[in-house]
Amino acid sequence: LTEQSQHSDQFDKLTQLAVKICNADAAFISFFDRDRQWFKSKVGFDHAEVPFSTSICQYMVNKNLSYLTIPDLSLDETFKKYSDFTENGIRFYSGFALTSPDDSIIGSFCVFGYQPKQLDDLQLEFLKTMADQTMLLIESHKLNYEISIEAGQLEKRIIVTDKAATIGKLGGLYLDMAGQDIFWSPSNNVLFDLAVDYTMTFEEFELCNFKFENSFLSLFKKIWEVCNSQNNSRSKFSFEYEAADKYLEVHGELLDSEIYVVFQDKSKQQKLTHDLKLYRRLMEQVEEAVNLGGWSYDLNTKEVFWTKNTYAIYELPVGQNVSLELALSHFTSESYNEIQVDFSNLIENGTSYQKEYLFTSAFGISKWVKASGHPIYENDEIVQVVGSFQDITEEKSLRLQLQKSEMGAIQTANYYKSLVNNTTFYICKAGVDGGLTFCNAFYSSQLNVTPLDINGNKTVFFHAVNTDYLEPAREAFFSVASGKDSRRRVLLKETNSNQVEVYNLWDFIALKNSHDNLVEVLCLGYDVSELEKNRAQVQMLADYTSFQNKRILEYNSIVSHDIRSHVANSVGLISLMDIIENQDEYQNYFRLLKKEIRKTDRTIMALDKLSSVTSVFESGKERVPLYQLIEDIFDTFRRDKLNARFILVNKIPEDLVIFSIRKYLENLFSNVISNSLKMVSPEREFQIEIDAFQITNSILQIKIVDNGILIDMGQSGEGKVKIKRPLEGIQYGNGVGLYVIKQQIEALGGQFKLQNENGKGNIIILEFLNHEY
Amino acid sequence: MNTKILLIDDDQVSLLIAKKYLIISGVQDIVHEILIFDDAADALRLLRELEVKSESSLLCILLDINMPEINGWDFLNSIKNKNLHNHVKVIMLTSSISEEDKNRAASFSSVYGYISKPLDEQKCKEIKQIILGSAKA
Repeated sequence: LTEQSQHSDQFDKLTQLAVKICNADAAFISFFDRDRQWFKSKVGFDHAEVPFSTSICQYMVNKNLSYLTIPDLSLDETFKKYSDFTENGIRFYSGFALTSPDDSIIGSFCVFGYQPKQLDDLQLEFLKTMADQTMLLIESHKLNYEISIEAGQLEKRIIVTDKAATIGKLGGLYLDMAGQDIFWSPSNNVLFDLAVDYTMTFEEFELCNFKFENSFLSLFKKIWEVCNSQNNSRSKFSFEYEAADKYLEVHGELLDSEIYVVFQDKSKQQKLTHDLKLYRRLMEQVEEAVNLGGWSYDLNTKEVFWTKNTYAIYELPVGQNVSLELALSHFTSESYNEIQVDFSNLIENGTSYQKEYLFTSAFGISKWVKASGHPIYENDEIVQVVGSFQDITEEKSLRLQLQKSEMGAIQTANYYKSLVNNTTFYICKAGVDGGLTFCNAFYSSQLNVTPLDINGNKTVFFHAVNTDYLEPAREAFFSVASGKDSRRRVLLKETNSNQVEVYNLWDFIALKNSHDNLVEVLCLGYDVSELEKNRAQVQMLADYTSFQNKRILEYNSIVSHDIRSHVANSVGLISLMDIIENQDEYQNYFRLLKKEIRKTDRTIMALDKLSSVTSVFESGKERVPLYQLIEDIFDTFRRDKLNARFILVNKIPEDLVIFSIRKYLENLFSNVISNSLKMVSPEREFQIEIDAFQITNSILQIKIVDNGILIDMGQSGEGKVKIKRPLEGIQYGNGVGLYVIKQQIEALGGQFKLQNENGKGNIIILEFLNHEY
Repeated sequence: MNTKILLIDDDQVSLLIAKKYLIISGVQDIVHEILIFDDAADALRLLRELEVKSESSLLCILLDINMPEINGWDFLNSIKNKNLHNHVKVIMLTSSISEEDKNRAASFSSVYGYISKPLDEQKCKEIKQIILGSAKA
């Protein structure tokens, strides 16, 4: 209650009435503070307040009087000294104390006048009633005030509760079973999709006959059943309820006949939990399938979750507790900064990432990993981040290797292409029935097959094979085509496009598809006609060489054992004759010496006969003009190989003569040149140059230089291209041809050397003993 | 120990020269006897007899290579196969000067030396050393 508080007009009505009834000059209602007296209502004077210590009311309070009336202050010994009389000229005073319910005096209701006055009983009773009314009024004001405060707070509380309930997705219900009352929280309407102004009545609840129609009806029926089934007068219950895409937790408390029920909407949490469970299950399934790991991180609990494979990639035991710091610490220094930035962007801005990082496992093994991260939102806030984790080290290194080998592959492809388009090998493919499906240009030109024939699948592999060779040809081919052998080699006589019979050496190789099924036969062929023609002569030379060897061995035996033993005996006898003195003995030795010398002579005669036999070959030698010989051979090649493009250069001095057998030399040089022609490089026009020098009186050196593919003699050093590598196991000219040439030269004590010039070609050097006997 | 020299050669002149030098150079003085064979088969027979008798004697064999019937190599193989070489030291005495024959001879463990004909005083000193066990030529 204050000076400014409302309803003071009610007090003013009382004081105005008091002045009239008591016929006084002034009236007031005052209250006391510690040291002042203030006026809630006043009539007839202006003071707002006066000091309490000097007021007449103070006297009444001190003396604990319920009222005080003074008819004339000037006649009263006590009050004629008060300032109310001395200063304000008041002569008459009558007042009643305002007593609070706890019996303390809090104020006064008074009238006063400037003339002496005696109030009658009625007036005094009236004044007392006025004081009592004032007190009632004060109490009523006080109560009103308190109620208004309370009401305001209650209103605020309801608003706050309702707001909290709506935001927190809470609902509530209060049931008074005894009082047949129900309190329905307005937030329930939001929770249960009901009209804003709906309020459930006890009747609805009791009869389970609700004024709304939706899937939550069963919830309230259930609550009704639960409440009625509780045996104890005090108990709690909880259950989960799912309807209309909502997931609710219901908590209730029974207190005698009162029931409190709280509803909590857990739909979102439930959905999130459900989604996360699904996501984890999905991660685990994916993990099984593609060796992918998964992870998640809860921003609230700071918990890190890993799937089995993620543990495996980290090389940490499955289930070990891991922190975010540990998880990130395994990224190597460069990748660490990157993942830090990526991860921060993810949890702060929700920016997803998927990148490759360098990583070190717990065992210190460096790995390439592909990691991704994605945000999971709840109410527009990131609550979790999840992602995948994959070890891509192998994939990455394969990718690198692939890149590296790409250049190599292109080179190899070009190399194979040049091989296919060569003018040395036949390359063709045939189906398992023998029908040609592919042939290279060389085969096409030499064995008279057009691409059209192949497309129509008209030509069989055996079309050019001579009748006598058909049997072995079919046997070898079909043993591969049937899968019996994976590879076969056979020598076939065939008729070429110039109607010339040629000897071709064929390799049949089984070709399988990716399912390991035999689909085709690869046929690689090589014209060995020259070698075949020479074979007989080579055999003769080999026989002659072995005969020569035998002769040399016999000669050695004769010289060492026959002649030398006689000579040794002679020497021994002569030395004995020098040291002995007995004449008979001397004569005997002399006789023996003569015998030994005769034996020696006979042996030498025999040796002469032997050597005259060996000189048959030597006597077959003739004067061969080398220049003309080479020209003749070149002409033969130009005639035989009409389709081939090559340059033959003869630099041999025209007057040079070699002492040898013409047939033998023809054979030898034909072999050398045809062997070189098989080494034609696809990069340049082929050229052979032959030159000869008499390097000593008796040794002639012949140099054959070509620009073909390098010849591999099986002992080539680094950097040499081994032509046999791509077609492993099939050795053509490089092996057989040169071996024959080498044998031919060495059979007559000559020398054979092979050099090559850094990829530019080959040099073959032949050295012959060349002198006239 | 009883020491014998076995001289094996089909050439009578060679045998004569060898025996003369063994005497002149004093090799005969350090052995108990010198036995001469113009047929290697006879020499092998003797080796077997000595083996049966278990007679403990050192046999120094001067062996030619080129002989009819049984040549030097056959002889060496026989004593190797029949394990008759316990107290045998073979010295090749041959007109062959080929390296091949020298190497082949060296491959036999029973061969202690290789001397090319004719024998002389210097070569006899080598034989003496081999007999006395101080050298393997």
